[in-house]
Amino acid sequence: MRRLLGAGGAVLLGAAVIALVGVGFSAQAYSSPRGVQKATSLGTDMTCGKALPHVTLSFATYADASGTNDVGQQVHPGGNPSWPSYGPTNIFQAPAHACVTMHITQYDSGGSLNNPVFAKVQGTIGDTESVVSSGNSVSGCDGTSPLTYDGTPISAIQPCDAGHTFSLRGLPGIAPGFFVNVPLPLAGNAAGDNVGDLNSDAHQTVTFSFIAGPKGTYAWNCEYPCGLSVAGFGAVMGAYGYMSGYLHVV
Amino acid sequence: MSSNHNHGIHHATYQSIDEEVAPGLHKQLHRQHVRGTLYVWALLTVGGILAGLYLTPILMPHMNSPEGRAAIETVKVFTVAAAPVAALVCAVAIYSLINSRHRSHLDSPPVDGPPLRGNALASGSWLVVSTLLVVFLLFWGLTEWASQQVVHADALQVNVTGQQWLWTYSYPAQTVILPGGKTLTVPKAVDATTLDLPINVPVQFNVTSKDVTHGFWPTQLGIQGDANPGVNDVLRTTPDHLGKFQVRCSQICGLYHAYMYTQASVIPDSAFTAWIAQGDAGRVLTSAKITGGVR
Amino acid sequence: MTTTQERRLEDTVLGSAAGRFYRHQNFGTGLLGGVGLGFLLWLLGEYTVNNNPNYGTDMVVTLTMLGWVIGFNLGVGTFNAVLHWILGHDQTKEDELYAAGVGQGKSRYWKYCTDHKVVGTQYLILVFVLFFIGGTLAMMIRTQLLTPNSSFLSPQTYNAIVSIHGMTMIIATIIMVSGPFANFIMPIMIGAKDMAFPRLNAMSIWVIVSAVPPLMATFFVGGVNAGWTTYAPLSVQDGPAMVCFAFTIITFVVSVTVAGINTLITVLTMRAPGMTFSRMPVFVWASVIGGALGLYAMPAFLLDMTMMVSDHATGTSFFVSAQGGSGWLWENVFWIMGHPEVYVILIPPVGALMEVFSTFSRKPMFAYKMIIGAMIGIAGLSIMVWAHHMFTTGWAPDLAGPFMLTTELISIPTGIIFLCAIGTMWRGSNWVRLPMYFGFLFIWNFIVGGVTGIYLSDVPADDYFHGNMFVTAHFHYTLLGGAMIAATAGLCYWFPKVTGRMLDEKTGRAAFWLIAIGFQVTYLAQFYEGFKGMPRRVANYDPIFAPENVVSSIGAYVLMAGWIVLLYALVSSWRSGSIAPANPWSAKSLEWQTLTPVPLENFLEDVTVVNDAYGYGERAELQVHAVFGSTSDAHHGEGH
Repeated sequence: MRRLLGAGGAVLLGAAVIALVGVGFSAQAYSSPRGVQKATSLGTDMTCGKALPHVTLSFATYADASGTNDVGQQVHPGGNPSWPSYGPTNIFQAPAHACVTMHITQYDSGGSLNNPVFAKVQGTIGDTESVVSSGNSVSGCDGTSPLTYDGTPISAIQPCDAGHTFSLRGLPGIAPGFFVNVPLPLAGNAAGDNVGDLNSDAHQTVTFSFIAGPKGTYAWNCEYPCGLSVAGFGAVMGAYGYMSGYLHVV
Repeated sequence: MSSNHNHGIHHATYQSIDEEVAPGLHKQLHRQHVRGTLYVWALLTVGGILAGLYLTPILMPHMNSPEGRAAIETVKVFTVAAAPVAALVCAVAIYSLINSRHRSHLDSPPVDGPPLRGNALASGSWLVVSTLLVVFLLFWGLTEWASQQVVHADALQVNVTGQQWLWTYSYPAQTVILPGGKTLTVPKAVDATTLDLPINVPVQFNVTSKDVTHGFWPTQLGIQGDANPGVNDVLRTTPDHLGKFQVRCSQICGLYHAYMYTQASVIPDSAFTAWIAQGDAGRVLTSAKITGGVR
Repeated sequence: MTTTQERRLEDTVLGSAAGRFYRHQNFGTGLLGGVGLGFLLWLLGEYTVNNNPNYGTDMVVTLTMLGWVIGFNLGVGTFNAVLHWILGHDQTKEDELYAAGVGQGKSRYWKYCTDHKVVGTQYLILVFVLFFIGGTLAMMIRTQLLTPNSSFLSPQTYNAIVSIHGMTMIIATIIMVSGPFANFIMPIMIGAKDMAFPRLNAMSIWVIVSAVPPLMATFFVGGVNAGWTTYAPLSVQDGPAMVCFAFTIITFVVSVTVAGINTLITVLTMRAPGMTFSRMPVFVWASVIGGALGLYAMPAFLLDMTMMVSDHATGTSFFVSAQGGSGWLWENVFWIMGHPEVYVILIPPVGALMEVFSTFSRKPMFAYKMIIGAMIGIAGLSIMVWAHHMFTTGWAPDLAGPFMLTTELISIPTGIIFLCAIGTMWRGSNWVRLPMYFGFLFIWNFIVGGVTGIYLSDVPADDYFHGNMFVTAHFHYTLLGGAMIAATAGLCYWFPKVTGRMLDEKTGRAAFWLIAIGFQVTYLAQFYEGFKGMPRRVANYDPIFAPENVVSSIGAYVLMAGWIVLLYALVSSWRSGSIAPANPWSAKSLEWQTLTPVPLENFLEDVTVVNDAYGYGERAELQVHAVFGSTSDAHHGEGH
């Protein structure tokens, strides 16, 4: 009986180890191994319509999570090559109640949103964004060829011209009405460039500002159906850390 | 060694009191058991009823619609109805625990109890009471439910769309004739990411989904319905108290299920008319407006 | 006690084994076989179907899982006899005895073994393993929920843990009594030498063992996002983890079906002379009713999961509305399984608990026929209540009334269980040993679970409580606080018979108090969360729910500590507890009348049942449950 119990204990421990390894693996693999990008301070200015501390964050969306960005880093270490991803990280940090200006460089192609609501800019200063195109050769869905923007503030894009969106939601009980939605128009060479080199690849640079809410961890995600399966929200969209992340407001 | 070496070692027949002492004492002892249990039962029943009546409204949030208050009433009434039965079970268990005569001799089994194999009166009355209770619960439930099925001739239409992981609302252009003869007009279709409802106006939610199943749960309206892709689920209510609450997603819908909520308010109909007249511009609460925090 | 004759028998059995592969099969060769065939089919998949952009990965995972399950069972020897027959050989007497574990000492616990007591013990170990995994996952969930805006786990990991915690616990609770005790104890209780189909019995345990690794594998392929109910279309949208999950269920259903048929046929055909239906212990009835209900419920689960694998790996669209399917189809078939399944979980432990109540109150079962009727009534009604899980889905709103009716009707037979429990206790002598502690805890927990259940059966109240923490607390009160506590009472009751050792009651009582208090704190706090309106299965929540979540988490840690102390008591007593007498509780049912440890084929003499097993306090002749040895008149007196 002793031998049996020793072995039984080993099985039990083994099971616990398997469970913990599984949990540990998933906790590690499905979290954000790429660190936190802290906002750069620009002092205090009137960007958000009144005198507020002004900070800025810059990041990009890539069509290929395993690709290398323009500073030679892999977008998503160990990332799935057929999945798009935000980069260099998906976790950002900004001070509470500060004026936050984001620059998102959009390298990916795109198509139609599931819900046209997300083609409207919402919750930014003036409810607008400005987009500057570079090297884009793809046509817009209304026939505009090529689909380019000149940096004039716009309040919406065509719902069928979306590449991705940056949709930052509020926190229950902390910032209940907070919501920022910014559509990122599609980009890309006709060949469908995947890599994301600022110097040589087609891209749309989207700039917008908003006032951060109170302290808390805010979740953002992309509302463009860039995954597979039902409604295009399977695969990458169900995998945390590619097209979803957090904004830590501290 | 024989397999039945142990069989039959314990032949202690219940020391039937009838055989040893006067039948009168037996009855008295039996009554003593009944009386002891009844005290515990009465205490627990009163406790249960009081808890049902006075604890329920404290535990549950203030509700903004008749449907919401019906949920609170149901919890109250069901607790009160269940209290005597639950208390009886507890009372017998507690009494038998208090009355256990063999605490100090745990190593060997106590003398056998009386061989009661059933009692037609006890079983019969238990069945009758529990059946009556079920009939009452059903009657209560169906009455409440039927009263919620009333379809108002005219109701404010609100289209609710669930998608991963956000609720959006659209108010189609419409003119609602209110029960008093007044009208409420939505001049131009409006999209919103918050839910605002005019007080005392019947509302019809048309709930659907763009992708997977979500649970549309405007908490303090006491109604709930799934947002299924390709299906229009109709929910009706009439908010009759002003206030703010949240719409929460009650059906797990993937990664950001926890973040799928919206702020909802019941506002005076004048405020609603003014708000809706702004068109899309007024719908979305901009970050500029919440500087300094809403709370 | 090994006689020379027995030793010669062992020599024959083991001696003839030399050189033959199947005499060396065990858990290890099972693992090798599973990993080997899984790897082969994975390779096959990689080089044939993986180029399909939509279904490639899911097809490969399907093939791998298929390889694992078949390979494991080939490796462990599940199909040996069948393969022999297919190849035209018959099983020799030696083969049969080898399969029964003769002469293999403790190593038979690691093998395909047809002895029902070995199978029961294997089940018991598996149940411990599953509860340990499920409990560990529960602790992760409660740790994440300690603070409202926690980032201890990413939302994906959190969902994966919630789903696998749920399914691990469901599997564990389904088999926690029907596995160990319906296998080990139930055949002895009816005076049988073994189960009706010993090979199927051995198959059921190894098939279920092979179902566990796919469940754990979900963590490594993206995790299941959809909760244990895996509502479609979310579960169709999920990654290949859902395929692993479905394979667990399909394999599990095969095992449960086989086990259910076995229980049913065993009781129908293997009873000792005189063991009429009206003399059968309540636990035997409970095992039969639970098993039969499982036979009704589980195939629906198999069907649902087969369609799910098909949606994933071949692009059918049973559950995708955009392509003509429906999520309601999933929900209906799921709950047609899911609600009877609740009673598949509940009925056997309740049967075990009734044995405990009768033995420790030193009284006959109160209203024996009513409780049998109640269990049959519950089983019958439970197949007609499934849509009460779907009151808020928008499906068939006109059926809300009928389903409210059937759901509330089920509280009548459930009430009878309470009546019989308190009737059995009433004026009893109440020997307060450890099983009885858990018995009292069951009564309280099941009252709370039952009363909160009637709120949920009411449509207007369900419109508030559905999908919120109230439901979570409710079903933990019924399944953990009810079924699992009753099963624990049964475990403490039968522990001396299964292990041959007495359970350390002092440590056991310490565990009891931790469990009892931890449980109430955890789930009363969750009821409060539900009343206030906190949704289920959320990784983050509004800070207004923070205090009760902290309380609930602390309660959960205490609860887990209690289980660990109980596990310690079980393991240490199993190793070095005092040797148990054959009948430590002076109980009357047959399992206590045979030796401990129970010999192969259970009884050394013929058994003839003359009364039911509840003759406590009766006249001397009614106290005798069975007589042993050949008493020819008794043989012919009460045949079945």
